[in-house]
Amino acid sequence: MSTTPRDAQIDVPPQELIAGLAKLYDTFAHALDPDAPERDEAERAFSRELCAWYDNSVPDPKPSFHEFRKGVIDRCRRHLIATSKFPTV
Amino acid sequence: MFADFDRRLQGLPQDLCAPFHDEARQLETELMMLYRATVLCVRREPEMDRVAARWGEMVQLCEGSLTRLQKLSERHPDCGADIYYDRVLELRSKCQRLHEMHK
Repeated sequence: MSTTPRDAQIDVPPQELIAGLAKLYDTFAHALDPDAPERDEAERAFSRELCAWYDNSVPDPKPSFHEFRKGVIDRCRRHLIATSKFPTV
Repeated sequence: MFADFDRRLQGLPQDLCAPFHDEARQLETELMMLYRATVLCVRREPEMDRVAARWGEMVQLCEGSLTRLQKLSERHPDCGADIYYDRVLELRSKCQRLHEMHK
């Protein structure tokens, strides 16, 4: 159950959408080589998909884009941790 | 990271470019090591605020490096500091975006 306005706007995203965004997020936010072309490509793709989702699927009144993006990133991080994408160090 | 660099900067010969490049390259290498350490640190961090804070610290390190690269360039204007400065500037931009999106 959503507890914050931010979560309420994205409380039922399609799982495949989160999984796809999480993969892009992981690629650019956790790139060990910041100069790798795929890192920048992933960041651009993430931004494009996020903007499309925000513009087309988030109902009014929309949260700020900053809050929306932060909420999506939070979900992506939880998805990545839950699916054990991060190796133990 | 910067204390040793500042000390070595004082001793760089004014008329040679190779030592300048060595110092600039070492600074960049150390910065990259810190960047990778930040990535490994934030990967499993559950708190978004802490992730934002780590990237904010990385931005500060980039800015410290840029200041020193600029000083290096002023001392050795013909040794081509731009390439190192540009690479660190790009890294700073990426870290700043990561900081912004997590705070």
